[in-house]
Amino acid sequence: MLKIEGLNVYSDNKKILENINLEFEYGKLYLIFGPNGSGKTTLAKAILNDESLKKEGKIFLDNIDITNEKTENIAKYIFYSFQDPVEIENIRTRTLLMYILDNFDEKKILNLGKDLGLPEDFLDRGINYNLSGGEKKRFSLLLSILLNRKIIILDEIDSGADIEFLNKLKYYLDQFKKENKMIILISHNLKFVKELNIDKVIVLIDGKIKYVGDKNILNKIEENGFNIF
Amino acid sequence: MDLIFFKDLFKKYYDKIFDNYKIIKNEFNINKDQYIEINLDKNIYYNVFNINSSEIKIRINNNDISMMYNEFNIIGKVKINILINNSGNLKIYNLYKINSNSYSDSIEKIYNKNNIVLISKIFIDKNSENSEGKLSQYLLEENGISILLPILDIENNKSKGFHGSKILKLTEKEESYLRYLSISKEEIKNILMREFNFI
Repeated sequence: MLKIEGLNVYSDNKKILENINLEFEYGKLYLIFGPNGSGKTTLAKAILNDESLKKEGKIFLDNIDITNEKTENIAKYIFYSFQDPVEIENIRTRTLLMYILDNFDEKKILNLGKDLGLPEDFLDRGINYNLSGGEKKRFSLLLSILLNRKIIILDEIDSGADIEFLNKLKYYLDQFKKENKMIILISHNLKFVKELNIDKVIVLIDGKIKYVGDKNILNKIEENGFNIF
Repeated sequence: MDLIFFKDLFKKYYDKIFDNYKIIKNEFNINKDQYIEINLDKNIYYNVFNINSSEIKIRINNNDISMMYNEFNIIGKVKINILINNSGNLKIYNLYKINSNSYSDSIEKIYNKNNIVLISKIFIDKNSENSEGKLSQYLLEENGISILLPILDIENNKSKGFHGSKILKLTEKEESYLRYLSISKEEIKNILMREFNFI
């Protein structure tokens, strides 16, 4: 279980998140929904203790306090896919995967890459280097599959994606649930998220939690916008 | 070749202690693939490599205060790989002289943990037609100061010279991305070293 208690988060001395209290369980898909600038990405980064953020409150992973743990250590359990993945020309994807995967099975990785629509030579390119926006999202999904972390946070992985990729994404989200992983999806794509088997929706507005409950709220938001809160 | 030449060459960096150094001269005639390892000491090294259609790999190790001049006389299709492993204070001048109808592909990899000044020049004189010289430099630094000065001196219009360089270094944003993939700052060094060895 991932538990957040009384979390306040500041960036450049500005309060971004206020009094966040949440609990996430394994085998469930959570949607964090809210307008731009509501603090969704900040919440994800705060869970991984991003060094650019200042925090008050506590975060527990399986009853262990990870509030002040180093990002690289938390990332051994939680995979976070960036909204805008960084391009790293100087390190090839092959080198990265050989380093971080317990078993580097080139054939399996290439097949998966092909299935997800990545360029044939992606292993020999720099990390995310010269990939289109859509291909970077595909690579993030590939990482989420290969790294096999028990918690997966996908930050707007569906933005700007085509139908083919959204179908793949939907398939893998179901797979992750079957594998008893905890999935936290951050999205703006109301049409897409309504099709998913979401267990709980968390609505975040202006850094505060306005709603935690079932996905029926999405219909109300679709009809009336965020004014209902 | 003499001390005056070195003084002139490295006038900006020249250290008076070199006045007391010995000049160690070596000439290599290479017409088949070869590996040469050179461990530098408190001396001035003057090497001439006459290379004919072959590949040469040179590893230069330096922990001291050293100075080196390498002249490569290139005939035919030649590949030169130089790895400089420096943890001392090193000044090097590499001169690639490419003859007519010849092609040279030179890769200089510099792993620097201290101070290095490297001047590398591709020279094709006015009588050397239909030749090509390519120089690629890769720098990996660990708390070092590196000054790399590549020079293309192509006197013949029918010949060409190319240069490219790459510093294997990550920005803070790139390092942050890798931390989210469970890679620490210390591990990033190892990964960069793997990339460096791959080139």
